[in-house]
Amino acid sequence: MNRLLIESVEGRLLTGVVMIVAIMIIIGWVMINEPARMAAFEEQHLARSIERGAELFAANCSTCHGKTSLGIGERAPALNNPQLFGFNFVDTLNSQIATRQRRAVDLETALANITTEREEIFAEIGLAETTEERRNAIVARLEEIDFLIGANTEELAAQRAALETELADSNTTEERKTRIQTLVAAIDGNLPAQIAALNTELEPFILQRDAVLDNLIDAVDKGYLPELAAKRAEGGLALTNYLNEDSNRLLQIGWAGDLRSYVKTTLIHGRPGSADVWNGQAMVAWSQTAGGPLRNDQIDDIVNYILNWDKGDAWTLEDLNAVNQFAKLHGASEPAITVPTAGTDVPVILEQIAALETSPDAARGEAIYNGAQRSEAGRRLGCSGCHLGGAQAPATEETWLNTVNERVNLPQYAGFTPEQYLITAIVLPNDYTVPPYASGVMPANFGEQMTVKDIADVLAYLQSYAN
Amino acid sequence: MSLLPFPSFLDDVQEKGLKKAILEGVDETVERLTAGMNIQDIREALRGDNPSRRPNPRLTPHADGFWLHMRPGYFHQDMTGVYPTFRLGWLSTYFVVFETLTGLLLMLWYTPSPEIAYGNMLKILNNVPMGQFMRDLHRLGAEAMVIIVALHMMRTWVTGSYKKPRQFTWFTGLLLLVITGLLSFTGYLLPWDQLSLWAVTIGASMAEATPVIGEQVNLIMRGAPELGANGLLRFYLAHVLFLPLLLFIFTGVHYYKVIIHGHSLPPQKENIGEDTAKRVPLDKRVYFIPDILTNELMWAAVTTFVMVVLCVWFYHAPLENHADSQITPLGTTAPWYFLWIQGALKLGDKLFWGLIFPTAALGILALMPYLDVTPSRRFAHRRVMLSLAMLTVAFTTVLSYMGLPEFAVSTSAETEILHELSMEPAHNHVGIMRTVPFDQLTPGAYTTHQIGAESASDAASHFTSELFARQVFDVNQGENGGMISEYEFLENRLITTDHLSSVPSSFREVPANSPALLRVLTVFEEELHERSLELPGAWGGIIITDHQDGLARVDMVIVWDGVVIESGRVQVDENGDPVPLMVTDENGNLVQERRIYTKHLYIHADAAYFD
Repeated sequence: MNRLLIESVEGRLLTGVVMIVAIMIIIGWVMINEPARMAAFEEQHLARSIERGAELFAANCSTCHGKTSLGIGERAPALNNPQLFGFNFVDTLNSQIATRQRRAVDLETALANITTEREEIFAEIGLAETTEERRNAIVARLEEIDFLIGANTEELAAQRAALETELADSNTTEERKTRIQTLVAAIDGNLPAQIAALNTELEPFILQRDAVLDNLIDAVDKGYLPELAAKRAEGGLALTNYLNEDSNRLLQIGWAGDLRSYVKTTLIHGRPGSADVWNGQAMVAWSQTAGGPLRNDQIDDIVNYILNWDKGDAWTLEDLNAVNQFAKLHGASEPAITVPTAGTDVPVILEQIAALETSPDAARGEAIYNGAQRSEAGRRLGCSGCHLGGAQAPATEETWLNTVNERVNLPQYAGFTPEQYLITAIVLPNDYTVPPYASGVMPANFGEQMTVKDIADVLAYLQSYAN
Repeated sequence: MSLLPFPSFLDDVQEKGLKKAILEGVDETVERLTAGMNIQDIREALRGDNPSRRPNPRLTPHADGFWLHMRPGYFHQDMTGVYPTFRLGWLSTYFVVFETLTGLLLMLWYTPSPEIAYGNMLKILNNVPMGQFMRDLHRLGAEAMVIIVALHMMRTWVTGSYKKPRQFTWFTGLLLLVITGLLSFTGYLLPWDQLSLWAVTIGASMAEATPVIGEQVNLIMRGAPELGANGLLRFYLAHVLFLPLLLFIFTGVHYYKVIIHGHSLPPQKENIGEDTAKRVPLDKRVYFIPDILTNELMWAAVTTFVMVVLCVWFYHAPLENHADSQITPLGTTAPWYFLWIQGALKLGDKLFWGLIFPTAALGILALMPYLDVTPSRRFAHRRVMLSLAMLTVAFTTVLSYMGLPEFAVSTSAETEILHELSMEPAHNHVGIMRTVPFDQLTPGAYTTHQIGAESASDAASHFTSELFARQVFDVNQGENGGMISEYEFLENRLITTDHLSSVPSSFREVPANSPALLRVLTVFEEELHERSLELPGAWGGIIITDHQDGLARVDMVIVWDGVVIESGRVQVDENGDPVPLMVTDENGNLVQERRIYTKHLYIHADAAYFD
């Protein structure tokens, strides 16, 4: 019997019961700690998801959106960007202004309504069928209205003082006193005075806001608040509303859901129509759900990573100005080009370049090439968006040498100078496509977006890679 | 005459009084439920008294009831101790029940689809109270069950219990061992993480080696050439339906055989060639009720307690990243109980070592009772068999070791070193770079040259100036390669290939408040030193950049002089020096190629990686 380890039945039962009680105590203890453990796991999992998302972003997204998500000129917008997260640089000022401007609009409307009323009842007095009683009522009302809309503040003040004196006079009847109180109230509610007071109150806010808006100019050139100049010219509530809506990407495009769903949906399906605004380069679908390469858990990782760019209330002007490219709006049109552009006639362009008074500026050419500066025609070109690294199009740094060593030796370009070939490649891109790149991808309208000087500068930039 | 139109309980009340009628009614119900034991009998049994009536009522539950009809009414006294069976058979059954219960609970939160299975795992871990605990119990129970069942087989082998008349019991036991292995193997896939996908892919690839029908077997098992939605569903159904069904059937047969033949006694307790298990003398009997029953209940409580303690404080089921058939993790292995097959595969032919050898091994085991027909079970008479058993254990252990990635899998030094330093948590191991606390990840570029130098800051600045001065031959430069400064060489790689935004222009010493980072650099230097034959003139670099709030990027670099490596071995000249890897430069001169290998990772402040 001693081989059963515990001799007596009671001993065994007791051991078993003690064990079960111990198990229950441990499980109870674990249970108490479960909420904390689950929260810790959640936090850790989110952190690791962000890490994986960063990796996926670097491998798949950074070629277009930039290594630190600041966007690439004319290629793809920044995601590390206050506008995406709805940060409004004039938020507090704007709400101060908006309240007063709405109030001013209300007062203007009231003023207009009362002015109309005055004309109507004034006309009524002259009518034959108007009774004596009605005439008296109209005269009384006209008196009130004149106090309400009268523009001469000094006269109004004098009238108010007279009324106050009359009110204090002991001979004044009770009926007249009531009437005086109505009239004083009308003077106190004088609309032009209220509007003027509001405008005085508004002025410092508007000035402060203007100061902030002046600082946004650099970003505007990269696509931030594209209509800012026009709206500032318009001023008033239109500008305030514009700032409120367009400082927030979701409001700007009228997205009904939250930011996470916006980013996620965009990642899943891409932007099928975005070729129109991004020089023929549409964002493709990334999720396997929509025929792309990534699994949905990977999409979630990237979403977590992108949302981690949010700085909450801590976004600064430096962050805004660091952005290379802001998101665009469909249908937003560029202003008309007013300067003469290069056109597509290569020999003519060559002659005009030779005739240029200033020598070509490689630094300016580089800025135009990278979309950091506009062409003389006022367009951002962003050639580097595609010619970066040679993945989508021939690499920038190899272009000149390849032209000299290979392209001009092609039979169809026999006798071409490198400049002549490159100009052809810029203004007539479909003349020849370097294998293995796809033809028809490069926009064929650079001749209309650049002046002769622009082309000369870009050539100088490309030639700087000659050695 | 009954009170009601039919005989009823009320008649009993009228006849005996209410109290007596109720007591007798309860007593009768208890006797029916226990199939033979009334309250008095149970009371006696639990007090440890002898039964007061004959025939012994404690035997009727075995004869007349369902639950105990598969257990013997009494054991031989020599069979009841921990030794000689070590309770392994009982423990196996315990784990069958344990796994069934924990598995049923997990089924509540699991959907067998590649789209959501991994998400379900996360939900179990972050949204189901006690979810992690249940998963740990199920996983640990599975690993334990494989060990216990295998040990149970070894015990039977050693004591010769498979001998006549228990040959078929042994055979069903062997089937149960195979089923246990398969259950564990099919369960391995279900979390749908990298660990499970690749372990199972390796395990399942053995089936492909089947001659003629290999492809078909593979397709039937995986549902597609690659493991995917169909494969996961098939493994799931096998895990929760098909295999458990087989397991329960053969467990029944196995138990029934024990009833038929009795427990085999320790070899020295019976005469040679004589099976006395069914003739237990009266004074040697230990009755199931109450002794064995209470003992088993106690052991069930104790074992559960041990499992609970292990799972609360010592063991957590692994969960790696989402399964990805495009990325094969370095150091992938089959589940540990199939490592011996993976090791055997390294010996040669896939068909022979992967399929014929394991099948033959199982076949020989199954036939063993029919081949080893000598009557004696005494150890002294079974020297060959015992030697064979020990050899099998040794051989399996060696093969399992050979199955590890450390054995005979040549990975180039640079890959191995950076993988070791940076790997994601897998196989209870994590790269030490990840364990550096976030606040010690001070942005900057650090070099292994500072390790062991007299002045770390001097070493770093000297290293920087050298980096700019030294011209190296880069094969990727231009069309035919060209000479550039080593700094440019580094920059090209990190910026173009690795998408790093910028490389710091100078290296610096590790700040004093980053001891963990210094430790990584030290280990890095040691590793480089250890593999200096493969990596001559090597330096290692760690470049840390701030990426987002709470997210740092770490780039790890090895730059070295290329040497000739053939089939994983460095070629050496007569002096024992490695043969340099020479390439022709643009002028037609032979120059040694400078090589670079990089790896980068992102580390988030809350990622909580631990050693």
